[in-house]
Amino acid sequence: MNEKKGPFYLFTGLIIGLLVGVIVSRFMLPVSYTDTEPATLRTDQREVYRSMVARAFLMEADVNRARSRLELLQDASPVEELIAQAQSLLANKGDEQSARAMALLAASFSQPNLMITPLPPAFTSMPTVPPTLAVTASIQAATASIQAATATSMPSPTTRPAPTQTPRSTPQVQASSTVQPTEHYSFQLVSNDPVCQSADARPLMQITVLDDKENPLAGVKIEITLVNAAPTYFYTGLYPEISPGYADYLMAKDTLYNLRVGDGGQLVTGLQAPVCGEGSDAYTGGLKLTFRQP
Amino acid sequence: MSRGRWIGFIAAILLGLTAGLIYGWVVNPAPVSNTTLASMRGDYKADYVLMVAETYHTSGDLAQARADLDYILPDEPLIAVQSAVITAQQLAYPTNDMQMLAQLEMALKAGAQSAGGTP
Repeated sequence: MNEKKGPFYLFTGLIIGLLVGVIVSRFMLPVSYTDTEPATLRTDQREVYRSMVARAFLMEADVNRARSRLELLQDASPVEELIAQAQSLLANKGDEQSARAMALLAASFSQPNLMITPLPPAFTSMPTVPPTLAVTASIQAATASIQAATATSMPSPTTRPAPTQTPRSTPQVQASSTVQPTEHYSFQLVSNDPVCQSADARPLMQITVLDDKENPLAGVKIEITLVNAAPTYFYTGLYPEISPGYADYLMAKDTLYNLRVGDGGQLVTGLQAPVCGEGSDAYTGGLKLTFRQP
Repeated sequence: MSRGRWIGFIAAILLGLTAGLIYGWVVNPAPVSNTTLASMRGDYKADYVLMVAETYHTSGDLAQARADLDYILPDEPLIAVQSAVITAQQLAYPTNDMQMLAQLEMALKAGAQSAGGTP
């Protein structure tokens, strides 16, 4: 046969090499970035960061600081993200404290006048002297050795995000007024009204929790129990656009519910979705409950 | 295929491979996304550690603090806090924040020492 086939084999080799190179560099061994910003965190890590901001908020009660920290994530709607994560956490029976913290933080963002009292410290005394520079010099050496040991064979980063803003939060602002929704308040049912809007409306148990001055309270734990079922917990504050003290629960027809607001609250038994309308137009309505701190 | 063609073919593959790697690592690298807390810049990490220290200050739950610090430096919570202390000093964190970091550092040291003393 004639061997004069032209240089196509060179093009073939080039294309094969190019494809392999791109696959390796983009998918198998992509650039490993360091010195990144919170905005680039992957979803699960963003949730960890968000949860940590909310838990720290419970301690500091500093909305501005929490806001500046959350802004680093560059969420389109931080409040909605907080609420969604809190609801997801509760639905999956996750950390209740974190869910409550996120509910409170979301409510604080939506209600600028809402201030909470910081949680009390677990320790009565604080260290008076922070670690000295002499100590930290040895730490730097240790850190460097750790970093060297943990360096991987990944390609070194070629692009580093430039510093854009300080991670330090705003100066601490102490909460002035206090609306402290603790779980130990004893809330009492002050009103229980049927809600019969339309057959298309979902039968919701709409709960509003108020303090003794009629201010709505966010972050209050609500426990619902059904016969032969494990209790379900949720918190006020997940719908700040309605009220910081609002929470709701989807009711089922012909089901009895027991409800407790706050850990030490009054247990309300025998709650049931009302039947609205008559005859063939009858439908399951909702309940509107208001609890108040005595 | 002749030996010369084989050599040319392999050389072309290597050339393409090099070009592909340069494209993916230099010219058009993967976007900065899906990163982890561990890859954050030092000042962001320091602020995260401060948040851990703040929650520890109210909860006193050292196990939870360790778990939270694992995201920054797995299995090395003390070094994570100490690195944050260095950064905090450089950035002149307020005294109260420094105290909370120091408190967490001392608790982790005490925990490490008691764990080390256990047979």
